[in-house]
Amino acid sequence: MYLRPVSHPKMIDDKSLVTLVANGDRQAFKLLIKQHERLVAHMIGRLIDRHEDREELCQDVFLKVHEKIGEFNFQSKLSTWIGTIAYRHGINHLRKRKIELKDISEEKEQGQQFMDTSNLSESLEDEEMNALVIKFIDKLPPQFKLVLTLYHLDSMSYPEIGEITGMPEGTVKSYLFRGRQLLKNNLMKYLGKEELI
Amino acid sequence: MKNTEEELQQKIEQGLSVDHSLDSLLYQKVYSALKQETEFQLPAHFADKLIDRLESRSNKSHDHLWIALGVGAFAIAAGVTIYLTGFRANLGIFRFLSGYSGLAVFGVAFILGLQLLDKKISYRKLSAGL
Repeated sequence: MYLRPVSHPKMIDDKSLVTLVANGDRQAFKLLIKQHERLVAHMIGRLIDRHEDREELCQDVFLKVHEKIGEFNFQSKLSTWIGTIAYRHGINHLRKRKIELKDISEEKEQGQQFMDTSNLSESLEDEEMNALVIKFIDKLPPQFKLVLTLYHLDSMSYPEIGEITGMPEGTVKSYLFRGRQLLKNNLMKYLGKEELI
Repeated sequence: MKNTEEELQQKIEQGLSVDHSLDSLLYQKVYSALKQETEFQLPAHFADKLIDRLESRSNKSHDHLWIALGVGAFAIAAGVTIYLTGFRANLGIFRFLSGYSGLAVFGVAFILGLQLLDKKISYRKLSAGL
């Protein structure tokens, strides 16, 4: 299919955007990428730990979006549909690399630390604290990382996250609660209770 | 325990006031960190790069179309020529092979086998970085 350069749409609704992209409008597709690259980068960035794979995977996600845009039936938000494609790409990539998509074990949930606690820092500034929590997030199983990111960073609702990941709403809520609890418990272990009291 | 923690999480999320317990303090830190942008960011020219990739793909498929049209046109021209000239194919100097069909089949199979073996060995050597 030829890509015809047409007008430069600034503000455009999902329906018109999808129609333009399906008709081969490259400026419309560029706009679609710009609007959703943050979401895709968040998802792929959280799921995939190998930096060298991330950008290419993001490209593959958008190429798939371009290929399948004619099949988008407006039953969901465009961002949710793109999120679903990004999720499948990310999970397939992990499976190819034989990375297990396991749940968190009871032991870890009780607060077993992921990191060495022998060198507790004296006091941590907010930035350091954020960096520490982000390190803990990176150690979480993929689904936990993803659900937490979609909810907190991309402000998605439970049903939207459920649609992207294929999880029931209750599971999404449970992953969010348990993920945050685990992060808190690990932070507590890492910093040492006495230091903060 | 779970209910208390769940309530605490909900309160922090809704921005309600919470006690000054250790749990509350740590949850606030967790919530704050979860709102931080991820370290991975796409480059500024990501969309342009992608459009270029898409266009080169589109050009490639266009090239394939021309190749297919060329091959098709050649086949038609060959067919018309054969029809008009009444050309009859014959084996010419290879006619003697008709008496040695087994040998011909063996020859073809042997060459194909050699090719396959060569490919496998070359692939192994390349994979091993030799």
